[in-house]
Amino acid sequence: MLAIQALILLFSLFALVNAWRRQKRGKISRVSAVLWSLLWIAVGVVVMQPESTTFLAHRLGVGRGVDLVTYLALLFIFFLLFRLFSRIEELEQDITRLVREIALQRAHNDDETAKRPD
Amino acid sequence: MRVLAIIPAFNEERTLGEVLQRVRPQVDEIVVIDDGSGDGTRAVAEESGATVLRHVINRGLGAALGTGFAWAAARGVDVAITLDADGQHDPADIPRFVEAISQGADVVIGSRLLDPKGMPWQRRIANHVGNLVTFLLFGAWVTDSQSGFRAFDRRALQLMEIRTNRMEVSSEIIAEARRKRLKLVEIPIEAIYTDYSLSKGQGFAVGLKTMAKLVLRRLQRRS
Repeated sequence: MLAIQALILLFSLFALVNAWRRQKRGKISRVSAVLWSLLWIAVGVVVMQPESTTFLAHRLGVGRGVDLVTYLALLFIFFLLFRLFSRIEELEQDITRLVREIALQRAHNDDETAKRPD
Repeated sequence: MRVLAIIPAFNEERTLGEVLQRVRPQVDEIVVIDDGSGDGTRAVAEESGATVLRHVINRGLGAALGTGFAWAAARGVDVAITLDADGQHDPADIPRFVEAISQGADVVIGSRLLDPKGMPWQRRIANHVGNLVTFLLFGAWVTDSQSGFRAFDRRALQLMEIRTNRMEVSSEIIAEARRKRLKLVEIPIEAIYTDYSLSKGQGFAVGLKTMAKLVLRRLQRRS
């Protein structure tokens, strides 16, 4: 086994365990823990048996297995990036809703105080 | 008709006072949305007797307008006019907006490009790009999609959902008007460009960011 193989294997093992730890703490759902596990297991398989990707690559019309893995990894990263971007946008909208509510509430309170007879 | 002026302001203490003074005789009520300013914007607004809604942190033009619309809807006004606090819009134009509403329009956009004299050429190009993006993403064509001088009737205030926070709101309003089948008309206005008001607009980088946000807003839309 090459050093790089051992390193990546160790990392994916760590990531897999971490996914289930997060699931246990209720940070992610069971479904996403399973999906993450599948991903890290796939990484482990590809690292230990690099030839396995060649078969898939040929069926998809890609020359080398390594190329296929690179394409897929890039796609995955773009997907994550997009999700992150959308999530931030949602958060921004939530913050605005809060800020708006506070502004309206305060104006309302000031109004009530002004109306109250001394 | 009860007319409310909505003025979003972020660090506009230099110009806001004069703007408020000139808007006052044209409308029944004024609400200033102080969007987390760090200067005396709030004090200036309160001094002039306007209602001030304060965002505790800066949320951007879109967020400020959204707060203004929520206020307008709660007050049950007939017409809400939005205009900039930097003095680029002439409050003397307000009666023409109200007139357009009373003639049946739901949304009135004051267009600087029906008569573009006095507008710097960079601004003119940027506006064309803004119009094109608005059209490509939302299928709505207007001559000045980025104008901040607008009027809305009660129906528009109730129906429109403003979700974007920053400059992209200008295109979003036009998209929403179209989606909710509101009657939109444009009337010509003349913008007053000063070095001050020019320094407040969108630069190129902000323009690109605005575009990206609009694409995202388009994707988010479930209709």
